[in-house]
Amino acid sequence: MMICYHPENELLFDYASGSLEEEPSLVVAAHLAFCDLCREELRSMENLGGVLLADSGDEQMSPNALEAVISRLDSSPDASSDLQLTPSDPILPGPIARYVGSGLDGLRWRRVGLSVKEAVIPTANTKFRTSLLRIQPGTAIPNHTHVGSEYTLVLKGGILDDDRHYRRGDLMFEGEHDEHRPKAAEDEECICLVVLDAPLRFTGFFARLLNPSA
Amino acid sequence: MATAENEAKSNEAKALAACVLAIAETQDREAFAQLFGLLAPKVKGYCMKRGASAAEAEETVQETMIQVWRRAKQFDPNRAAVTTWIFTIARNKRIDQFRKEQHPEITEDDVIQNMSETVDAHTRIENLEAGTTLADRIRELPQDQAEVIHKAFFEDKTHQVIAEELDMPLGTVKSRIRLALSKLKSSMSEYE
Repeated sequence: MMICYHPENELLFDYASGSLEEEPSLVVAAHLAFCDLCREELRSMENLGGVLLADSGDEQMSPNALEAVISRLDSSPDASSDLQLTPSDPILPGPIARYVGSGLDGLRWRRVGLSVKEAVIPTANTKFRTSLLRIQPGTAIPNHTHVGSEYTLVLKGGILDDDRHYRRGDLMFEGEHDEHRPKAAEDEECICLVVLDAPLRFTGFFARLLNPSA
Repeated sequence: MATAENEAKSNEAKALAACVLAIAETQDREAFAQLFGLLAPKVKGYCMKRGASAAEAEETVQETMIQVWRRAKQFDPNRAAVTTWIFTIARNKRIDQFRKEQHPEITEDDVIQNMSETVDAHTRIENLEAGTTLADRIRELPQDQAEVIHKAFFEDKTHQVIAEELDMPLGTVKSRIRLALSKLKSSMSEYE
């Protein structure tokens, strides 16, 4: 199995600089768990961040700043208690597992149409809708055009879109005005992470399913 | 560029790494104070360049340096330069502080093996060592390319927002970012 569909360089760049919002960042981070190539790209972009930081020019700290930090060191637990424990899950990569905690079965799934279930993941910005979807094999979505953007990361099974086949770890990005006709692969259930931008106007592949008035 | 300058930078990078390792191994407070002296003003400068007030910037510095203390054991000098590592910590602290949101991270433990092509060790080392000359290459970038890099890293703007702000097609901003990155990258292999 091989990752074929990666985030565009600019998306990775926004993630590296820290300008990308939490929700699309989650999609990128989850893809990174699968993809050595993108992790290496990221490393060189973060390297750039390090250089810009070192090159920033010094601003003098206030005289008691070091003392203030040192006085807090003792009350700071070390990394073992600092790191969030990542529940191990066969389907969910670490970045998603840390949001979900309970694993797939512990989530509250809601039926969306006949062949799709959705579990919403709470995140910081209401501008986005972040969910896990379970889709029955072969489920097709009518031809449509986009209003907002849609980020989809396949976690199990596959999605077919024209001649493209997205599998576990692949990232599908649908920008505004993109037009297409995707469908879940026939052989097994498809599980994916979907982040919708501007969900109030959603018309994307999944947006269409999730939109209550669709 | 003069080799002496290169060497000075490389020595500085090694000194920073030695501080972090001393903190990791023996909770060395002197090493921590030394690291603080070298990097806290830079982190503060970086935050203020990004629009933070002096007080806000110092708060980010405090949070960043405490995280450095706590996570020193996780620092791997073979994977990243100290400045790169600290950049990622400061970036995440800023996001937490100003945007009240998370920056979902990827840790070594999250890596799912054998899913993608792998990157050879040679490339990794190039990437690591390149930091010392990268600063000069950034200064040599044409103004239009440097502008998008700076807006992303210092003004917290996504490439989409940058395009809107510069009243430019998204494609133009994308190609500037790509050009700049490929230029910086080719400078990395030249360094070898």
